[in-house]
Amino acid sequence: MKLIFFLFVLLALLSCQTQELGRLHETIHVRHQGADMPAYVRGNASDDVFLIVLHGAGSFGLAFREGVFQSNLEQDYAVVYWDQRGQSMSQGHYDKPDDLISLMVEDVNALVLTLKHKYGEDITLFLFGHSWGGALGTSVLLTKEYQSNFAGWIDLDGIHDFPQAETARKALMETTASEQIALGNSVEEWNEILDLMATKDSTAENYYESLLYIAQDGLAALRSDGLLLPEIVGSDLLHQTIIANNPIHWRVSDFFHKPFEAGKEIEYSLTDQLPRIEIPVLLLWGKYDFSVPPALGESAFEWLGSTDKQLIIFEKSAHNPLLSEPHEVLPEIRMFIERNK
Amino acid sequence: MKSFFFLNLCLLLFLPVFAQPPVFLQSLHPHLSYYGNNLWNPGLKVGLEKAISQDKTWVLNSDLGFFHDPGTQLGLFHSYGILKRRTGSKGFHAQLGISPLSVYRSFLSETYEVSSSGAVERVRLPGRTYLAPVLTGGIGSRWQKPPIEAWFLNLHGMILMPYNTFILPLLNVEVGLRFKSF
Repeated sequence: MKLIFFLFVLLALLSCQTQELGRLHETIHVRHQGADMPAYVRGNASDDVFLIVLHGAGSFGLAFREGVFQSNLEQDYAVVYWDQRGQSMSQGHYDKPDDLISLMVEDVNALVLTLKHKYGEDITLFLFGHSWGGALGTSVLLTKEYQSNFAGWIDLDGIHDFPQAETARKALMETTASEQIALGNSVEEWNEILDLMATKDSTAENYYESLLYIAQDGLAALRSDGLLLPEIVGSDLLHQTIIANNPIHWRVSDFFHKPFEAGKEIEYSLTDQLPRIEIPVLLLWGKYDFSVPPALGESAFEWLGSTDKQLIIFEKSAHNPLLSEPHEVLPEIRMFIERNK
Repeated sequence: MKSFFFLNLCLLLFLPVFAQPPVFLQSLHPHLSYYGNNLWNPGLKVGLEKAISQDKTWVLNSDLGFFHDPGTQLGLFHSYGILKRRTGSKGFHAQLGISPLSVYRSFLSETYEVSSSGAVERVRLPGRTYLAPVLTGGIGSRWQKPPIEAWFLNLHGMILMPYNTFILPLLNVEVGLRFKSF
């Protein structure tokens, strides 16, 4: 009798659960050219607005499913967190391609075709890219007729020009050092940074990495002077990294697959092609991004062919404004999508 | 490979129904264990082992198991290997083993294949098959509670290959019981 009562209560409780119309929580895989790449589709698809997230180098799609993405953007849009080829939970087997970037561009198109096949040809797609994802997204928009698939492009600290990033990094570090010394902020630290930079050979193969390494000291100095907000790693991000994602797959895959290195090696530069991008563009940059300095955002703003383009610099952020100033970044993304959906 | 896999599965599933198992099976010891990929992706493993040396330190083993990575996949694996087990006077044991003849099949969620012409088709039974050699190290102890013979705790390093452009190592933890022979 007790068992029957228990089952009755359980059934009653289960029957009380409702599924919100249009809410998606699905994982689909896109198989293309030897790779099976997971796309985690989460959020509200009732308006058929989908935001595809292109993660940065060494990252993974679900890394963005934290904070404002989950609590805010997913309330109104379907967000597609995608693991790129060879990254995180993507699997398969294929030979190392000669032209990795072109293949990854075709992967993005395969994702678009899959989303349209599954959710309807008339869905509205926005493309969002961070860091390396900015290079990949820009490449997608410059390939064939792919640009017409998207209602807008959101570029967050994206590296569309590797050589420019390297020169701009050095310039930004020197300028910031001079400014901070003039203001009397962390003078000793900034002088040490300048001295250290002077010892590095700009023609050396590891010049890029050595500057990034020194830049960490600069970021620490800016934080200690209250000019840079800390990048908050909340429980959402930890959950996505360790539980939703498989950290061993993520780190090992990253070790064997380095699209960023491919871009660096061929001195990948898309600046002079940017006039061909004519869809609405939102450029978001951290003022103290020593990895991909805001000079790249400024040149992109200048070169883009779009009539609807906007560049927003976040004054207290570095390479991850979504972690340091999420509540400032979010309304900009929302307004952009609402205006162009 | 498929028939080999099927034969082993039948052996593992139907052995218990034999009232009097054939003589060649009477020296086989079954084992059952929790098998966790990265500890927290849960799974199960069943297997058989047979001592091949007089002092019972060299053992052949065959396993069939799975684990579930809730985010993306179900992994099914089947392996054949050999291990060296040293047992102390109080019944504690330590072992090292290798299973070179192993195969792993991932089962993925809803998958769509996009051809070079742009055609999209849903994939039936999506997933990939990899060679999956395993290195094992572990400890355990005698546990005289029939039909249980011993408990054990093993750490497995499984390498999926070829995975993407190279390999993928997996770290798996196993806790289980070994039973007396049939």
